[in-house]
Amino acid sequence: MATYIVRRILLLIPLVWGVVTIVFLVVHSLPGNPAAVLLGPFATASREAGLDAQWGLNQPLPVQYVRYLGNLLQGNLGTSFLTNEPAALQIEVALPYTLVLGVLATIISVIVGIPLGVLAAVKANTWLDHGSVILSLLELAAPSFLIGIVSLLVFAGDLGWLPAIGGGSFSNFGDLMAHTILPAIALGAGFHAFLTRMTRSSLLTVLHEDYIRTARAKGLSGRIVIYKHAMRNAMLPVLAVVGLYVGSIVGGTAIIEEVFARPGIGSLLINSVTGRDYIQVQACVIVLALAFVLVNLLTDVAYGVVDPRIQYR
Amino acid sequence: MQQPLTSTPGFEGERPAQPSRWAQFWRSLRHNKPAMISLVYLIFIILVAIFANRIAPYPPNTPNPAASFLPPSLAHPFGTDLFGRDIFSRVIYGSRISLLVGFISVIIGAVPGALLGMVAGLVGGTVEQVIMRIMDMFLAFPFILLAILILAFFGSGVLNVMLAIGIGSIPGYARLTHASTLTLRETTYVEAARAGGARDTRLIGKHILPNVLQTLTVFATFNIPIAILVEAGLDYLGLGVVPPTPTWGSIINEGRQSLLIAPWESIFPGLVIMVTVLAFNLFGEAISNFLDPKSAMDQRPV
Repeated sequence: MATYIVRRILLLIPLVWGVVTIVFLVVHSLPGNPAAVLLGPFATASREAGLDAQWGLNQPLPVQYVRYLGNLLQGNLGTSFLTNEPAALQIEVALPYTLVLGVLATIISVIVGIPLGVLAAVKANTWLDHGSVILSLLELAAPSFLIGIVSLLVFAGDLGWLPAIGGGSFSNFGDLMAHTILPAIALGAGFHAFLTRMTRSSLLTVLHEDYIRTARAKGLSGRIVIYKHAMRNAMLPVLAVVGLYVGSIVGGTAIIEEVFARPGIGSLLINSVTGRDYIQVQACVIVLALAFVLVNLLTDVAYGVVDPRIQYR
Repeated sequence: MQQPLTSTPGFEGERPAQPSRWAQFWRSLRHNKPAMISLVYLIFIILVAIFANRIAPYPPNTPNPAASFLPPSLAHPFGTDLFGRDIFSRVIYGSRISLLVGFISVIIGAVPGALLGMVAGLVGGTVEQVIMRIMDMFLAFPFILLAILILAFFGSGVLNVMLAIGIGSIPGYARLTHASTLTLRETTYVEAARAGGARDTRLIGKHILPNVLQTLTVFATFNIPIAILVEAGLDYLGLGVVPPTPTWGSIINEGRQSLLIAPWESIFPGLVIMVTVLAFNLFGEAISNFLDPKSAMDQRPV
């Protein structure tokens, strides 16, 4: 197991290298004088010269690339055009808000999605099953920002139960949760619908297996058969594809943080795009992509822990 | 004199008439009410997009200050916006870009993606390793993030949005066709064709492509609604199509400022997106169940 995890972490290195290389190539495939294009409205002769020096834009591409990798290794993500401060600094401020949002969205999706899927499978072809199928179809079809807008109008507008905008205060847990719960529900809607559908169909397949029939024939109660025998096997295919959906959580933060005017990496990214602050854009994209890669690694390892049949090589 | 069996006249005709693939699909569709309704809706929305200029009751971009922020009524079924523009007409015109981006970006992703996947699977060796590892690197980006990155550096506009979404989906198609090609490569008929001296291009065109096409169709059908959702998201963020061109996402984006005064400006286009995506998903499921009944078996009730 330990060797497997170490091996997976080592495999991360080429992947991370690929991610930062793709970002480098996109940034450097800009036509024309890169310094002028990158600076846009901020362009002055001295700034262009400064950027040329900072990014070594007057040097050959391979030299620039090596320097870029060197800077990244030292945690240097460049200096923001807009704030004239290290890009990493703004990320440090924004990251906790995005983490809280992403984690809460995942928790809500799991504690709602999986039980609902189990219920739908156990009560197959009843109104409960049909209701859960319709709900998940609607949630998969609704854009996250629509769910965000409607929940904002209802719970923050009409009912006035929850604050509409902002990220809350980290020194006050209740305030933090009050600000995060609606965005988390909107962000997780697609994920929980996906979990419900996967759990339902996977459990239905497992419930047809011979060993389930045997367990029932032995006279075990339905509850024990489902939770002790069926669920363990039914959850494996679900867990195997969870990683695929995590991207929608990571990428979706950009949209949801905008809807609720929350601080976070996503809204920082969008503000930097509109402000043409390319250094900050590059920094945000690298951080979000790395988060995605790491979460994927965690789900893979979790898969190995849950399924003892997995061979570690 | 006895003739050889293969040249017996009318031999083909003596076979029991098999309904064509289309007829079979149509029959399975007729028993699937949600898919049938979805198909009708999809044809309807495509016609709306094509004939938008004839259907829309008002011009989509002409301001009318006297009609600012009117709530939904018979004259304006979806209400009006700050500039007095009819939201219903803007949604009708918006269907053009939203559907176009959905279809074209899928082609931009599927063609190179499938080609890369088939070449990697068939050629193997270093070529396979290089192609698939590069695809893995692209897959390390959440879909929408890659699109935002491309738009951030290459600017907004319909074409760039299609490219951003299309390029972002190439790795998915490559992975899928690569996996199918690996299986097909080992089949007897591909081996036989190879032994017969067929070149890789012929193998791909004649043997691999026709067999991956089914899986590819199913995958692409599910990618259209995803592309529509991502396009709407990009427009909502103000990174997509340049105003005042209406798209479903951009109308919602314009409605953000007046959400509390005129929620209809955001809600109605949002509902249209939702219904359209739902229709694509349900219809896609019907295609998927027809082409791949095994997956339909997984959905069977107890």
